[in-house]
Amino acid sequence: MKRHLLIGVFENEESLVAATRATREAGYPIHDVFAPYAVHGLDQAMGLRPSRLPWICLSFAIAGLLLAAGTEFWMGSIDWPLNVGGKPLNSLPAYLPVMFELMVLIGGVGTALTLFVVSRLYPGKKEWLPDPRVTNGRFVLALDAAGVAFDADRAEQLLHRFEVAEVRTLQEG
Amino acid sequence: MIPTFRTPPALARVLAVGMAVGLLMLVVGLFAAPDRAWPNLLISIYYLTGLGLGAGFFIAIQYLSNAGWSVGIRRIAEASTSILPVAAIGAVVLMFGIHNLYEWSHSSLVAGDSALQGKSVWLNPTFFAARIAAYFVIWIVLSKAIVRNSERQDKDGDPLHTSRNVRNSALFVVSGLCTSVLASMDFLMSLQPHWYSTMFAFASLSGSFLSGLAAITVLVVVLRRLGYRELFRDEHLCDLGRLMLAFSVFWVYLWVSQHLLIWYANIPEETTYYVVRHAGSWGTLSVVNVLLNWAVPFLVLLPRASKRSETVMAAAAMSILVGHWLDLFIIVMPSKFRDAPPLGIWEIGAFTGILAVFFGAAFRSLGKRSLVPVGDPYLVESLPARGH
Repeated sequence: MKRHLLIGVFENEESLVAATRATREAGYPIHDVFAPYAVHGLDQAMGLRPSRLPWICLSFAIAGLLLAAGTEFWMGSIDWPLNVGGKPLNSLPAYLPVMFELMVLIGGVGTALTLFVVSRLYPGKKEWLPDPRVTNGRFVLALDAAGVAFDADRAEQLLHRFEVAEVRTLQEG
Repeated sequence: MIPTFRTPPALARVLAVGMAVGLLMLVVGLFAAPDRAWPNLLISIYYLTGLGLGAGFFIAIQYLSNAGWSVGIRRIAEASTSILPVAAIGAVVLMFGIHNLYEWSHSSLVAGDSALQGKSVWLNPTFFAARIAAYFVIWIVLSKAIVRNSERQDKDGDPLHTSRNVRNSALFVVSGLCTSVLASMDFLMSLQPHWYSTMFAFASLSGSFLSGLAAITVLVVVLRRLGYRELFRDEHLCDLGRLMLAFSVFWVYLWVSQHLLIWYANIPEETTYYVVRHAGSWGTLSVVNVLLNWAVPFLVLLPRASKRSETVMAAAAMSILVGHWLDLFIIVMPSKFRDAPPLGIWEIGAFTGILAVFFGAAFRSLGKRSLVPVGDPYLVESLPARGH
C-alpha cells in the first residue's frame, strides 16, 4: 500500500486531542490517529461521523428476536404440537427466554462480525503501525502528506504548538 | 470556589406545601380511612427507604470500583441518603398499624392456621419490630459514616478518608444487601403470608435501586437548571442515563423472571398472587407498571442525544419515579383490595407527600456542605470538560 505521511508522536492524550482538532480545523487531511487505548473526545476532534454500528446492532437484535419467536411458534404450535402442563400451544411467556437470549446473541455476534468486515480485520492480518510505541504509551497523529497542496513545514510548525515529541515523514510503497 | 447552595424560596414553598398536604392526608386518613392510610404509609416508607438505600448503594459501588467519573455528583447521592432517618421515623409510626396490615400479627388467626404457626417464629410482632429497628440502625449508621468521612475530607483533603470509605462501602454493600433482602420480605412479602417467591427480594430491590438513580437524576437536572452546569456536566447526565437504562432492563428482567417461574410451575399457592393482579383494573395497572418502569425509559433513553438532554432525562426519571410507586402499590394494595384498585385522594396525597419530603430533605442536605467533594483525590477525573 502506498503511503506518504507526516507523523507527530505525542506523549499524552490531551495534546493529541488538541493537535488533532487544530490540524483538522486548519484543513490538513488526517490519515488516522493511533492510541494505545480508546481516547474520549478523539472522534469529535477528528470530525468523524457518529458510528452507524448501533443501527446494525438494532437490526441484528430485532432479527434475532423475530427468529426466536418464529421458530418457537412454528415448532410448538404447527410442526410438533406438545401439551405442556395444559398451557395453550402458543404461549408468549414460554417464548420470552429464548427470544431474549437469541436477541442478545445475534445482536452481539452480528455487531462484532460487522465491525470486523467493515474494518477489514481477519485472522492472520499483518498489522501496520506508524510507530511500534503506539501499542504502549505513545500517541500518533498521521497526516496525509501526498497531496500537492500539503505544506509539510507549516504542518510541522502547527504540531510543535502542541507539545509534540517527534515529527517525521513516512514514505512507503 | 464552589458557591453554597440555597434552595430557591419558590421551590422551598412548593415543597413545604407538598409536605403539609402529605402529612395532613396521612393524619386525617389514619382516622377517616385507616384501611387505605396504613397501606399508603407502608408504601411511602418503603419508597423513601428505597430512594435512600439506592443512593447508598450507588455511593458504595463507586467507592468499591475506584470510580472517578461520579465523584462530582457524589454529594447529590449523599444528600439522597439523608431521607433514611425520616423513613425510620415513619417506620416507628407504622408499628402501630401492623394489626391493620399483617394477617400474621393476629394471634387468633395464627392459632387456626398451621402454615402461619410454622412461620410464627419469624413473623411475630416483637421480632418484626426488632428486625426493622436493626435494619434502619445498620443503614443509617453506615451511610452516615460514609457521608461524614466525605465531609471531613473537604477540610483536610486526606486520601485516608477515601480508603476508610472503601472499607465502609464494602460493609454497606454486604450488610445492606442482606438486610434489604430481609426487609423486602418483612415489609412486603409477608403481607400475603401464605405466598412466597424466591425472586421477590431482588425484583423489588432492583426497583428501589432504579428509583434511587432516577431521584439522583432529577436532583442533577434541577441543580443544572439552577445554574450549576459547570459542576454537573453533560457527561454526568449521560452516564446516569446509561445506568438508568441498564437498571430499567434489569428490573424488567427480574419482573419477567418471577412472573415466568410462577406461570410455568402453575402451583396454586404461588399463582394466587398473579391471579388477583392480572384481573380487571389491576391487570391494566400491571401493564402500565411495566410501561413506566421499562418500556418508556428504555426506548426514550436509547439514543445518545436523549441522555444529554435535561428535559428527556427528567421525563424518563419521572416515569421511573411514578412507576416505582405504582409497582409498590400493586405489590401492597391487592392484599386488602382484591377487586379494584383504590386510587383516590389518599393515594395522590401520599405520593405528593413522599416526593416533597424526599426533595425537601435532599435540598436541605445539599445546602449544608459544599456541592462537590472538594477534598476528594478523584475529583479531578470528574470535573474537567473532557470525557472520562
